[in-house]
Amino acid sequence: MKTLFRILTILLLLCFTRCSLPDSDYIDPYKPKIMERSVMESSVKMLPSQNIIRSGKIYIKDNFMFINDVNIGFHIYNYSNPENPIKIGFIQTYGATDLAVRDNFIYINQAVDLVTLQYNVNSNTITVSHRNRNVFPQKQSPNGTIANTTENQIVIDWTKF
Amino acid sequence: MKYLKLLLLVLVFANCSKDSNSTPINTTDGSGGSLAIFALKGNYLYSVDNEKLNVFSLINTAEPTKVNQINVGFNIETLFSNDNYLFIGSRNGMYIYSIENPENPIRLAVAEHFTSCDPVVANATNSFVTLHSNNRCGNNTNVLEIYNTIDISNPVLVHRRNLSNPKGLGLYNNYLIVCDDKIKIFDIQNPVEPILIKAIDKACFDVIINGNDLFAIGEYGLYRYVLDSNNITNVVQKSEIIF
Repeated sequence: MKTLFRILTILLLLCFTRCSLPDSDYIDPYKPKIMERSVMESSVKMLPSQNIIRSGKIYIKDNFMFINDVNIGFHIYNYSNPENPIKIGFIQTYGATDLAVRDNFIYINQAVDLVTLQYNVNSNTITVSHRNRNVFPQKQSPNGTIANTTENQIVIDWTKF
Repeated sequence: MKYLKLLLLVLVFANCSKDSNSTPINTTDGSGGSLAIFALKGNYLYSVDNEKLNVFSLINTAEPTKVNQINVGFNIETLFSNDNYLFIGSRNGMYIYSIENPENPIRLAVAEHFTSCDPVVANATNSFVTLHSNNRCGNNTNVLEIYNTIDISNPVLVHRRNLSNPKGLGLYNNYLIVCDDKIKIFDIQNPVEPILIKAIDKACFDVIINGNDLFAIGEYGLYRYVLDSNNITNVVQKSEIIF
């Protein structure tokens, strides 16, 4: 029992020194990109089509293909003609990596929030229909580091410095 | 052209009925790849984050309501649903949950393995997991694992083989399509001993199989193919988007 306690203590200490103490030896090569909540929320919009920077997950709904640009948003392609997909827009959603679509509602994990967008197929426009705030944890770095944030600060990405 | 339209209709219909046991009529869901973190099922949207399975009610599709969250484990990465089951891929193993009671998923099984990244897909009899290593997920494991999940609470490993760097995967009838150094199509009629039938020389990290359409996404492009259920070696590329 005593040994177990010791092991646990050591493990805990190891974890603390690795994960949270700023003056520890361990330096995570990744740095958090932090955005104020208000900025993150108001940045959600449909933009003209863009180049793909870092391709992520894909999603198919009817004739539309959504390609995630990791932590930036989603490129939309119209696949009405399977031989000639046309890029029709970009849904800017900082911090997002995935979505799901039911009818014309798009559910997006925007960092700590679940955002619901209503997509109008005819006008190729979106409106924010709902936002479930703080339902997901803040993004951790690929090495498991947790950023120091205040209440209204959202980690939208981690980049190597 | 008429035939094509009919085919599309059939496909759309097949796609709807596939996942709609308890889905209200008139709703249509899209489909994601094996790396997805979302799953739509009935009146619910399921989503995994790093440690939890989150349940949202879609009684009002315009306004999801969070109704539950369940601690699953650490380093959760992917979510896949089949029938009344959720398959969760983490860096430490595969978790299977029952959603018979949709607001209160219950853990049925966990199959643990060495640390690596691992999406999972499943059909009525088997589940298929790829494990791959990269900078993020440590050690040098690059394998395909097949579990017999007829007894869903008791997954039994029935096949394991080394691949190059397997990532996303998907099912098409009796075939398993795996993103590896190439897009590999395995015959899984006998899941204990899958056989490579066809390899397409494209690098990808995930696939969506929607009817006979195969979409493969890689770092440099998105490739669309048409599959032929009568002759799986007959894979026709329809288009590609180069990033």
